[in-house]
Amino acid sequence: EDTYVIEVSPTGLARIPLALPTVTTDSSLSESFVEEFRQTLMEDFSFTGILHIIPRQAYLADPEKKDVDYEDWLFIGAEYLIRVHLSSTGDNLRAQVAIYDIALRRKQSSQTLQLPFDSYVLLAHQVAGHILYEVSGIEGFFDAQIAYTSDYGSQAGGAIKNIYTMDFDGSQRRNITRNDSININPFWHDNDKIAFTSYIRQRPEILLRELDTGRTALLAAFGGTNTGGVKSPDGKYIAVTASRNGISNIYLLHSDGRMYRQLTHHWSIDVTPAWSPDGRYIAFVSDRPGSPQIYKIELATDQITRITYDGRYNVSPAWSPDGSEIAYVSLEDNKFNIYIVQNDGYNPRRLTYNSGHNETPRWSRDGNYLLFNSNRSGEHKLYIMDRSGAFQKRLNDGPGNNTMPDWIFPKSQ
Amino acid sequence: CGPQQVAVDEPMVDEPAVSAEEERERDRYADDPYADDPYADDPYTVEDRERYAFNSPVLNRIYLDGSQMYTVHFDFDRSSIRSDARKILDNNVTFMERNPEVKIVIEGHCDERGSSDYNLALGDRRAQSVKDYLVTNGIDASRITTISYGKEKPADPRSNESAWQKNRRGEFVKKQ
Repeated sequence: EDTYVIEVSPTGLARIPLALPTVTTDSSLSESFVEEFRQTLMEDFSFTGILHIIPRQAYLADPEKKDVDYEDWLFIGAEYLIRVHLSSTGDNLRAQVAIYDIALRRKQSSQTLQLPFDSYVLLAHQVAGHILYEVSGIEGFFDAQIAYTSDYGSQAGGAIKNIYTMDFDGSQRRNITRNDSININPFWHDNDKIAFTSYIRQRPEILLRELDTGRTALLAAFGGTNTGGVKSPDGKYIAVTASRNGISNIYLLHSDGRMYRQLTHHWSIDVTPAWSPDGRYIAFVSDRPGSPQIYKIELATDQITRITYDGRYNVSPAWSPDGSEIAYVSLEDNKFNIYIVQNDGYNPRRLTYNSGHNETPRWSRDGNYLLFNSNRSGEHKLYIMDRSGAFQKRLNDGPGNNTMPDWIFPKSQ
Repeated sequence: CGPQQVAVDEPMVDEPAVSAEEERERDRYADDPYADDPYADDPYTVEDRERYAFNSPVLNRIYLDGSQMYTVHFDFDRSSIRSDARKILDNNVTFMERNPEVKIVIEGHCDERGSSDYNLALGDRRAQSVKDYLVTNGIDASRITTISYGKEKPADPRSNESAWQKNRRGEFVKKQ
C-alpha cells in the first residue's frame, strides 16, 4: 500500500465555511453511534474540496440552546449552521437536518431523511448529499456505486484482471468476476447490471453480469475484438466496437444483444462509443486522420464531425450530463492528462498536470465532478476531482492497479 | 432466444488461456532467443549461420535461417510492417513452409500508453497486418488466427521507452 496521499487542495477556490456541531439524539442511540455518523458526513465532505467544516473547539454558542445565536456563529465565520438530530423509530433510523443561513439570519431548510436502521451508512451519505446541495447547489455523489478493473491478486506483470465494485466510500468492495482471465472496461447498465469485456472464452467479448442473480449473459461476440457495451440514455440500444479482419467499427445493438445497425464504415480504427445525454449523438475515437482523435456522429443523419484538433493522441471521450462538454484524455510527452472541450471542439481545457497518467474520466450526475484513475502514487488508483481540476483527491479504493472506473447513482427517490 | 448464458466464475475451472507448454514456447520467442541457443548442435557450421545473422533493434542478434519464428515489433501507434520486421517475417514464412503442420496464433500487443479499448483495436490491426504479410507470401490463411491483447499483456511491465518498444509486438504462438 502506498504510504502517502497527495491531496491537491484548491487554491483560490472559494470554500464554504460550515458549522457542524455534535449530532444530537434522544436516548435511543449511543454517543459513539452518533459521533460515527458525524464522522461519515465529515469524510464525505472531504471529497468535495469546497466545504470547510469549522472545528468544534471554535464554537461559542451553547449547543443545548434551542434557538440559534446568529451573532456567535457569524463571529467564528460560519456561513451555514447544520443541525442534525438522529433518532431510531421502530426499525428505522431517522435524521432531521436543519440548515441555517447565518448571514440572512434564517432557517434555510429542514428535512427528514429515513432509512431502515441497517442502512445507516447510506443514510449518512444521503444526509451529506442533502447538505452539500442545500449550501452549494451541487448534487451529492456520496451514495454512488463504482465499478472498476483491478489486477489485484495477479502476480507482478501478470495479465489477470477482474472487475470489482465498491461504494463511493470504499466499503462493500467485491470482485464480481473471479477467473484467471482478462476482464476489463466495465459499464453500468442499471444499478444491478454491468457490461464488461472479457477473455473468458479466449477472445475479447462483451458480457453482461446481473449483480443480484450472478447470471452472466453474452452480449456481443462477433468474432474479432469486441469492446464497449455502452447503453443508450433511453436504454433501447447498446453501442459496441467489433472488428473484422483487423478493422474496428462501431455498431448499435438492440438491448438484448441482437445487431441493429453499423454506425461507422471506415477502414480506420473506430472505437470507444460514448452517448450524448440526449441520445442524439455518439462521440468516438477514430484514427482516420492518422492519429487517434475524438469525433461525434449524429445518429439521425450519420453526419460525422471531428472534435479534437490539438495534440496527436486523444482518446476516452465522455459527454457531460448537460451535453455541453466532452471530457477526454490527451497524450503529451508520454503522459496522459484529462481535458474538457466544448461539444463543438472549441477551447479545450486541461485539468491534470504533472501527476503521472490520468485516464478514463467519468462525470458525476450533475457534471460538477469527475471520477478517473491515475498512477501518480505509483500504482493506478481511483481519484475524484472537481470540474476545474483544482481539487483532486484519492478514493479509498483497494490494493492493486485500479483502472477504468465507471459510477452509477441510485435512482433519485 | 435470449442472450446465451456463460459460466464466468467458480465452480467452473478455467484452464489458463495459454497452456504451460505454449507459455514455454512463447518465452523462447518473446525474450532473448539467444540465451540458450537451441541450435548449438545445428548441422550448420557457425560460419553458415553467420550468413543469417541479423541485428534486430529489439531482439539484438538473431539468426534468420528459418529454424525458428521470432516476434516482430511496431512503431508507436502504427500497424505498418517495419523493415526489420519484414526480414523477420520472411524468416517466419520460411519456417512455416518447412513445417506445414504448424498452425499459429498471431497475438497483437501494444505499449501501455493509450486507452485499453483503443489499444485492443490497434493490437487487432497489428495482428491482421502480420497475417496479411504471411498470406501474401504464400502461407495459407487457414493456418493463421489472430487475437489482440491490446496493452493488457506487456512483455516488459516497466514504463520506459525500451519496455514500450518491446511491448509493441506481434507474437507467434504455435497452436496445439
